[in-house]
Amino acid sequence: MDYALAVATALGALSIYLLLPRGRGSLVKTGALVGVLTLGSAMLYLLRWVGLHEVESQGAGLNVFFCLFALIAVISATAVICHPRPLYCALYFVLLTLAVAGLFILLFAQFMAIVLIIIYAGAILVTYVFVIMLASPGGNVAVADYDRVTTDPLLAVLVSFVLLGTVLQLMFIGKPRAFMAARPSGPVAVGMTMGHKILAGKPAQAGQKPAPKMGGMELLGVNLYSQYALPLELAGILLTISLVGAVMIARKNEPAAGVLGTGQMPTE
Amino acid sequence: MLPGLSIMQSVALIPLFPLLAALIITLSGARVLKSRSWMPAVIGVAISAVLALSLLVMFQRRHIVGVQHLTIYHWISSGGFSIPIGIYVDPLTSLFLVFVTFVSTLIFIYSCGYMQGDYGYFRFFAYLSLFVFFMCTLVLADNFVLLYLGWEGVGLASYLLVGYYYTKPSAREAAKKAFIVNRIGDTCLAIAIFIIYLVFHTETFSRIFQSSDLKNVGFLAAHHGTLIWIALLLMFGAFAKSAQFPLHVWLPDAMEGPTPVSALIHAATMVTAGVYLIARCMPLFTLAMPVLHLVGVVGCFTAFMAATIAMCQYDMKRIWAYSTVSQLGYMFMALGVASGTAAVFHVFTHAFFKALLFLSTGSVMHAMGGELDIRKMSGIRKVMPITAGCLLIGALALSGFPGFSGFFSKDEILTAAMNASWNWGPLLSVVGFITALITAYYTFRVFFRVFMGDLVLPATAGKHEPSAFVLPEQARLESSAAHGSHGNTGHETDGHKPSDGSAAMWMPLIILACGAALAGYLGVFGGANGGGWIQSFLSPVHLLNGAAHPVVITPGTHIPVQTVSTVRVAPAMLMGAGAVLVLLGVLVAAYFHWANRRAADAVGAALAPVVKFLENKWYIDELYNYGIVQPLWLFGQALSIFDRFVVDGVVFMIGFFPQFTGYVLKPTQSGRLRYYGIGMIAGVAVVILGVLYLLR
Amino acid sequence: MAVMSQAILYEYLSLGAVLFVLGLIGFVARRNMILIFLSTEIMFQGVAINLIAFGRYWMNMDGQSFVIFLLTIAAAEASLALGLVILLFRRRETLNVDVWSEMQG
Repeated sequence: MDYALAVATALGALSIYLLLPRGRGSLVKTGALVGVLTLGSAMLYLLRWVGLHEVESQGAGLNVFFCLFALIAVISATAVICHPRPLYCALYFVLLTLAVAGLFILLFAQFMAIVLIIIYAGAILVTYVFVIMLASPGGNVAVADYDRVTTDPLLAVLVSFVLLGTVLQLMFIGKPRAFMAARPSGPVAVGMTMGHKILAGKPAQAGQKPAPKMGGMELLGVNLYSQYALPLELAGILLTISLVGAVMIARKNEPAAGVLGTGQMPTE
Repeated sequence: MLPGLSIMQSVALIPLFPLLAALIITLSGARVLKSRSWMPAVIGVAISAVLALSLLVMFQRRHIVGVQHLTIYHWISSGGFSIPIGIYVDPLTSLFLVFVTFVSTLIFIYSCGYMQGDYGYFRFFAYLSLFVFFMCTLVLADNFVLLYLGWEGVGLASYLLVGYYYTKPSAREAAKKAFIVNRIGDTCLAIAIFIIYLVFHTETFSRIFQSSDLKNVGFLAAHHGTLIWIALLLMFGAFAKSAQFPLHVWLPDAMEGPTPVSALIHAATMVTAGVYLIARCMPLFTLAMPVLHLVGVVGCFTAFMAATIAMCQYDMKRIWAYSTVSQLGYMFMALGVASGTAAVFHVFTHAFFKALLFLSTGSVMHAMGGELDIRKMSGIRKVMPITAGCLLIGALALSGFPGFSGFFSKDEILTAAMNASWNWGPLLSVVGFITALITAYYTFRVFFRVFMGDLVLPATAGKHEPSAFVLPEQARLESSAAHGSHGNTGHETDGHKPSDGSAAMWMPLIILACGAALAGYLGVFGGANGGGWIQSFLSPVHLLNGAAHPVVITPGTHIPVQTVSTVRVAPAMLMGAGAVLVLLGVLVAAYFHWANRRAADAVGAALAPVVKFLENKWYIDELYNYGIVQPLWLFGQALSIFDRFVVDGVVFMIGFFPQFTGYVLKPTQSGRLRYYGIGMIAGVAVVILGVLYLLR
Repeated sequence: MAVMSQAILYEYLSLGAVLFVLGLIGFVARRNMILIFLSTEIMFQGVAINLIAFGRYWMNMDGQSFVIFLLTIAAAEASLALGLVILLFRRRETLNVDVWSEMQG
């Protein structure tokens, strides 16, 4: 068991527990402090760990951009689950999406980053914001009761962080030597090498188009329409069905348009 | 035969015409044909009769010789197992086909008049046609499986027709009884068929009967026990279908069906299927002589027992039913002494005279408004002379009066038994003679009681029979309406004078009477070497009368199987003795039941215990009741208790456990999604922790 | 294009795990139906990071293809879920998930 990791996890749990909305007597500041401590300790741990294990990478180390985006992502995710106002949650979620898109770019998935922003920030989040506005409770209450107080935050945090702790322990435990020996070998390694050769792209020869590179649309399209053609079609059907279903659900027992969002009870 | 078809193809059509008729009647009887439903049935069976008769002529003129096959199509084919639908035609088949279709035709015509106006008229003819189809299939089958199909089919038709008046509880009971008793025999037959396949690897008659295995000493020695079992099981199948002791109990009850049914199925044709089966399988039975002897002994006993019971019954149809059982006993006796020819001859003549007796009885029943008790009527020859004459001829034939058909066929059987190589043959023969005396007595008891003497008509005479299909409510209303004037429950009160009935009813009677009178001469004249026609006609049938040469069972053990190996008593003497006994029986009956009826009552009173014993049919039904039905019922009760307390208890426990668990766990189902989510996460965490720390 | 080391892969995986668990906490602890669904979107993001990182590590496109499907599911789920939220809101005039407990045994 890696005790430093365990301590960092416990700190994280404490900070989330403190940050979760609890009505009066909010402990946001304390929670934020603990959260900063957690993030700092986690960064330090990661630095040490990468220093220990990063033997053969050519000085990649702990990427600054990774640290930046990861920090933004974790902080904005925490804000999403901890902010009492749903609209702010949605906006923080946009931030989270942007950070994740940045990580995608680091991972040579530029197209996916763009798609993520378009779909999540552009489509899904807009829907969420709409719904938040439509379904806001009447009256002049700034924040609804159920948003101000969470139920069983201790139980949720405990269980979730036990899970996180076990997963992280599983990942970071082990000796550096044994870890390096776990590099894939055999057919997997061969496949990996071949993948490198294909994806790294051959040098463009005279009069030839340059070979496609990872991260663009071309390889993804080829992969989707060759290997995953049927699932792709099914996904399209699923989307259509869900669209129709959403319309049906929202319209159910509605006498006419215009009632939507007025808060009137539909006749049953 | 038919133009454009070979002889065998035409023969294959014989069962199809009745089937076609049955289909037509079933489909259109209720709406279209209605009271014309008899037409397809009669036409279909008449065509079959003509075809069957022409087949007989073909054999007679030697246009076809020996055994003929035709495979129509492959019914079941699985690996090496193959069951064709095929026909097997030899003189035995031909003879059965002729009398089945011929008697059927006459009875169909009779039924047109007899069943007139009955509820479900078309249903009756559909069933009858179906019966003829299955009977022809049974007789024509070229393998055991197809024979079994026909066998079950005639059983089904019999069940349907016995239960024809299904609103009557007694008819329902009788139908069930017939079906269940037959089921015993059918099961035996099915097992026999299975064993036959195991031993011979085929079900086809010709391959089994003519297989070289049956002459192979090693094979016979190896399979001796199995062959005995096959024969025994086949025998039980035949006994159930042909109502032999102890499985005879269904036949008298089966008289609940309409009279033409009793005539056709339960006297003339279906019940002889057992005789046919054993005659057909005689090559197998000759290899199992103990079983063949058992057939003879049981047949003989049944003949005697049924005849004695018939002496003390009062219901005419019931008397003829026991007489049928008795006559079938004769046939099995003949088979038991390996004289298939005599058995088939008796089947042939019996079909005519028994059908005649039943149909005449039906006419009586018709005229007397459903009354059949011989104590309630007397001297009715004065109102129905044709019926009286026909019944007299039938009675003469049944009793074996010299010159009538029964005389010749019965004599053939008794002679064969007396002179059989088997030492018990003479004993059977003597019992047979005694039975012949009894037969003559009970037959003429009916005749003299009912037709001779002063005219006495039952109260119901001239009325329509009370219909079984009158609803209770309706019957009550009609009964109250008719109360003052007539006091009977007939559903129509416009009576008719008791008479012979319409031409459709008495014409078949006359034709059958001719057959009953004359069919016997076929067994005396017209054959080669001065013998009977039947004998020479049936002579090509393979091993019908047992093996002509000694059969070797094991090396060194020869079992001779021959019909007549010794001549103990000259045939002429036997014939004379038979004639004398029959005359004696007739005279006794005439004295007690015509001349001096009081004497009969006096004798009956003197022999009261015997009469009671016979009236109760040897208490066999009671024996069944206390020996089989009641123990089974008790067993069923015990099982029911076991079921209720043990099985149900276990089931309830199984049901109770989840219920209890659910009750205990119910509070965990709060309906809040988050707790389910927490439970799920905790589960995943536990699994990962387990993997991390326990499995390393 | 450089080979990605396993150590760097693990950085991404741990970030994915953290996002997933944060979403989980939101899913369990929040009472607003809309935020509950938003929390599931956070979990989706964590998973998407994992998939992309694996794809990068193995140098193939399957990870990105999976994310395409993931986005599909997320979009479908969001549309249905929000439709349901609106329906439920109309019934009870509240977004509090605790008023819907008909599943209780």
